Amino acid sequence: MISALILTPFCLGLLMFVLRSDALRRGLLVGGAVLHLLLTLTCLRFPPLPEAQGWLALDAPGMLFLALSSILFLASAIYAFGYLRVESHVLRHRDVEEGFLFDNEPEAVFCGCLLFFLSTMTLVSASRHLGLLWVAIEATTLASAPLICFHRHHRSLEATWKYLLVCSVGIALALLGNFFLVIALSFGKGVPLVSLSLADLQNTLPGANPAWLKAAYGCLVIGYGTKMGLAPMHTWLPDAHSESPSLVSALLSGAVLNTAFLGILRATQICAWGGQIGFARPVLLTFGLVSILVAAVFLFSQSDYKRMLAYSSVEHMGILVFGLGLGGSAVAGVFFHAINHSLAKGALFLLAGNILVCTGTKSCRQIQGLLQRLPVSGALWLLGFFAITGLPPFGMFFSKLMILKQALAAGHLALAIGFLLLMAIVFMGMSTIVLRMCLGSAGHHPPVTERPGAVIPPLLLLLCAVGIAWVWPQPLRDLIVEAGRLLAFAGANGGALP
Amino acid sequence: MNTLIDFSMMSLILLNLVLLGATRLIHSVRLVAVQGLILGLLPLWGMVGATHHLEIRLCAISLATLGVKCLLFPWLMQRIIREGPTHREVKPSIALPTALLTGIAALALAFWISHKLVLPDPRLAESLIIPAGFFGIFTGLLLIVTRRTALSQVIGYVALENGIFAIGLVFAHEAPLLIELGILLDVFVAVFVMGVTVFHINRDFDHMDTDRLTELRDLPP
Repeated sequence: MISALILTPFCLGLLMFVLRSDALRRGLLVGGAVLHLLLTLTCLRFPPLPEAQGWLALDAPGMLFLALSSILFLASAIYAFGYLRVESHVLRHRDVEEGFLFDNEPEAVFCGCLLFFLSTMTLVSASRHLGLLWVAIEATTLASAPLICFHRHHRSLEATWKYLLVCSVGIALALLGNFFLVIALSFGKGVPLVSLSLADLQNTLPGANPAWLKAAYGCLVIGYGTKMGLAPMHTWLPDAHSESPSLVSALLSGAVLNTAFLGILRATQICAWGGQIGFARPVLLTFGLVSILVAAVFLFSQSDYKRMLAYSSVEHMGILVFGLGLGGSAVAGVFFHAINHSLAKGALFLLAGNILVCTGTKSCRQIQGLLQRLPVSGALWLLGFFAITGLPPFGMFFSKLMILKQALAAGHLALAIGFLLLMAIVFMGMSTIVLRMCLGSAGHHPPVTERPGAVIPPLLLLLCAVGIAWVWPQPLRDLIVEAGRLLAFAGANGGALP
Repeated sequence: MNTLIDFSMMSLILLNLVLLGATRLIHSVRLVAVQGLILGLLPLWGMVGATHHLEIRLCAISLATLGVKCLLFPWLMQRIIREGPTHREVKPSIALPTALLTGIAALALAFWISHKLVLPDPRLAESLIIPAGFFGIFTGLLLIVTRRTALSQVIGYVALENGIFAIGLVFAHEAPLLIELGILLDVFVAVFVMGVTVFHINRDFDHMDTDRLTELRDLPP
């Protein structure tokens, strides 16, 4: 079952390079996304058995992130269907900002890499072996790099180059972390066989050498943190998110960052099994707060709305890591936060694509009166802003509250105040930009009627976000409670939900 | 531990020092290819020292490492150099003598760190594996940060990977074959995708100087 989930998109991706017809390729992309979502839902309903000696299995965090990736991929695939058709009408494209001409990447490469990307993300979610996890996370970087330079011009090449180099070096450090873990495990046991499978690690880690375990944890957090966009290793993120096509930004921000977070979750799990959770917590709290701080500073004077969304991703990744560092009941909040963030950010990036196509600029200072100019996308953009900053009717308010509650319950008063202050700064920074874009008069621009294919995917994602907050479906609740229980490490009431 | 392993590690350290001073790209490519050769043979030396009989798993790892690091990478990078306009590193952001001095400082740091670390096997503590691995990592990072040609940065990445590999090949001797091959495959694809990107940078900019790739930023220069 799990191997089917991984292999289906992979084989479809290979097929993309063979097919001749563009229309068939786009149809197959959407078909593959639907098939993957159906398989994922089946796994949710009937939990699959572990495969490959327990290396592949879906536990609660993996299942949650797999479902998120799958939903987001379907929305992006539907968006891509219309997007690629519009893009293929002209041979040479004019850059909307600087006016030069450029080519697109061949569509076969783009669609093929999209499906490889889905396959590698599935592999990350299902990995229960640290070596396999490393291979899979590096593979997501490599499958997504060609997607960023779909429009082949100097800015996208610069973004791709930074993404590839910064993430590859970061993930190479995570490999070093894995080797350090092996060294930590081979101390004094007399057992020659060292296994990095999570099932074995749970038993062998209590005897590990603490110094090497700490070194391993540091390398893993810095390595996967680079991929996750934690400050100060976030430098690739704003560039890659602002230069790639919007549907790719949606996937990068909503799905890839989560998979990298899964790497950090696993690292924290082994650190706790080795009895070093006291070392992990301050590391996570520091990375979390620094990321939120950096994001708040750069959000405040941002003039590019896609970069604004990218920095908002840095902020939310900071919140996730901060919550994980607090432990206890904050961890369930972290998972709920990740769900809300992925859905809202995916929708916002797709809408940013619509706005860019219509207005021809990425600068938010040149845009006014979106509510009149783009009645549907403009309204959704405003709603998406509510969702990402945690205003009702969206669920992010509750998740932030759960994290804050745990900070107060654990007696971190200073951290809680700092967290609240930074949230306020971020909110002010984002609201200035978004409200200025939405309100005001549209001037001489008439209202534009948009393609249904461009507004339905973000609408569906936002509906999902509202639905999750208000209907609160039972399987989802079970998953979050289970995931929170697995990673709370505080004993007591970890995973209690409001 | 084993004189052959120590000899290999000494050569790795020297090659890294030469790499820091090399300006011709083709020369740097050959240097990392020799590193690949040394790394590819490393699993075999461990076998000679320990068990005295051939293990299929180690032979497979050795062959795959040789194939990827000693043949595929140099071939790929030589093609890029031949077809591109840039043949030597121009104006690295720190001068070459400074880079070499920094390299020697990094080597001292690598030895100091290794001296501080407690190893599970006392025989390992005497060998040069850990300092050579750390020095490889430092060299790679130094090259990526100070060189401005895109291909030099790829070479830096390969040097960094080689350093990590030197540690991994010795310690992860019980790691499953599949994972080792997966890691090699990933590194290979990484260099391949980087190579394709360098090719496009060459074509679009008529050079592969990354200091012109500075348009995307938030703070004014």
